[in-house]
Amino acid sequence: MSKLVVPIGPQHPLLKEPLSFRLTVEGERVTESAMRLGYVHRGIERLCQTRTYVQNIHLLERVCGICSHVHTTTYCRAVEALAGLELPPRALHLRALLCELERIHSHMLWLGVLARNVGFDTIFMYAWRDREIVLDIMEDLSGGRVSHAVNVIGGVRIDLDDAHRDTILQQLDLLEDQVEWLLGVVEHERTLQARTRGIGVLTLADVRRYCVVGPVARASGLDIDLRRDDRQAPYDQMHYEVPVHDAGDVWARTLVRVKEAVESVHLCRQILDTLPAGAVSVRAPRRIPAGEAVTRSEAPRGEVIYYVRSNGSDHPARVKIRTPTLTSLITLPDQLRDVAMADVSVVLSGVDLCIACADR
Amino acid sequence: MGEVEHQAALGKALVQGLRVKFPDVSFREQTMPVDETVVIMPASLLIPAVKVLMDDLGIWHLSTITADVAVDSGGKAETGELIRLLYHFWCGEGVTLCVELPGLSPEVTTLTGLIPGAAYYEREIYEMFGVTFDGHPDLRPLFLPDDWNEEPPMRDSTAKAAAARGDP
Repeated sequence: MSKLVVPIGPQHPLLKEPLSFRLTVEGERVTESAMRLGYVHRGIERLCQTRTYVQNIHLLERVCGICSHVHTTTYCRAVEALAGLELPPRALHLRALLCELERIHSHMLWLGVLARNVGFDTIFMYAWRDREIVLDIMEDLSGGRVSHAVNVIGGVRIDLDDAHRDTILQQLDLLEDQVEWLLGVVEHERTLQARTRGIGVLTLADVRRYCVVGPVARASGLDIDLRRDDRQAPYDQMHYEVPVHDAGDVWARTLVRVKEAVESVHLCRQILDTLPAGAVSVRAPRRIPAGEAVTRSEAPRGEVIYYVRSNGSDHPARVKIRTPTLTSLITLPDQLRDVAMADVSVVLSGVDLCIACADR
Repeated sequence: MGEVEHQAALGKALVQGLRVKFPDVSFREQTMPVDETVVIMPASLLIPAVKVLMDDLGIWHLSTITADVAVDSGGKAETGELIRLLYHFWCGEGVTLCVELPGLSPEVTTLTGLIPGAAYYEREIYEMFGVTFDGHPDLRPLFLPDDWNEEPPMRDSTAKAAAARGDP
């Protein structure tokens, strides 16, 4: 059978993210794939060296348009470690609250994209409608729907009173009902399973070889979650499940993500119920003592790691960011091999790509 | 990065394992926040050390590789410049292996033979810092445009940006 090379991206109706694939197909089957990145490379690591520690918060919030808060959280934790700052418990709780809301928002957004790509527009509409509840909560808290600008070095800049907390708890009740209903659909709806089961399979050995993180790794049976494994406050005081599945296909990733969203709703409620009193920030120095620090956080797509080196001035000497999407991208040639052309979009959406994150 | 005081269990096991296997080599151990053990070693020992991590200690997750330019000549890029590579591993706690390469022709053996997941991290360092990874199966630029003909952008910037600001 003759071979044909099909270019997909950097702008293509099948793929909303700016990356480019050249798929070699024989008939309807993909035999090889080549990927090209860098279309939204902004040189953020380089830019960080020319800005102050405080200005970098604004910059790093824009690494990703979905998980913006976890980037600034991880960066601030590194700078705070270098400065030797001890954060008030209330600040840690509020940071975690935003992280969990962001996780729900990210997973609901992703569910909508997947549903759209498999032609299940009802779930696309429902998931994105219910995602508005999360965005409303985040907007009320911070003033922004996706870029929250909540973190400062030494804590957070937002606070909430009892009345506001009760309002959020009511919104969470509504959200929980909707997310659990969506989970039922994902578990039992045959049309969704017909398009996602057995597609884009990664084995446990694959995810370990490629050092894959987050829901993609957990859907292949790897039980990792930095919130739990790194014993980070305030997660060390919370009770929650880490969903793991062993099928390794797009359906397993869907189940893991939607279950995670349910767990995140529970976590938000626990965080609000145990919100300690007190200050939300401590004063941070403008110049950060010389040294280097590494911090890791569990972003919606998995482990995000920051390395920050200070030379004693008010600018960092080096900021290194590794986002979770980069770990998933390397698996795509394996996942796309021998897949039908009609399933390429399912595989690509299954890993939850964020190319803005990967390119930086 | 201060000298080690309360070293984590995994980092301690690694250093002990390395000292038993390579009694003639001096390893420098340090800690860096948050709870990360750093082991500084000669570049030639990188692969044996990763084997100790994987085979003896069961650590296989490479979080990423950080490249950094060590500038200790008043912010000027000179021949004394070093490229530091930090291999951040994770298994319930962080362990970082650090090798220092000469700035003029930085070269180190690829980790992709042991950890295929290192491939993109090494490609990024190759294009941004000009470090060559011996034995890498596909050492091409990852993010930069195809017609990029200038020097590796991060390599240049680290020293120049520091000099421009007059940092200590």
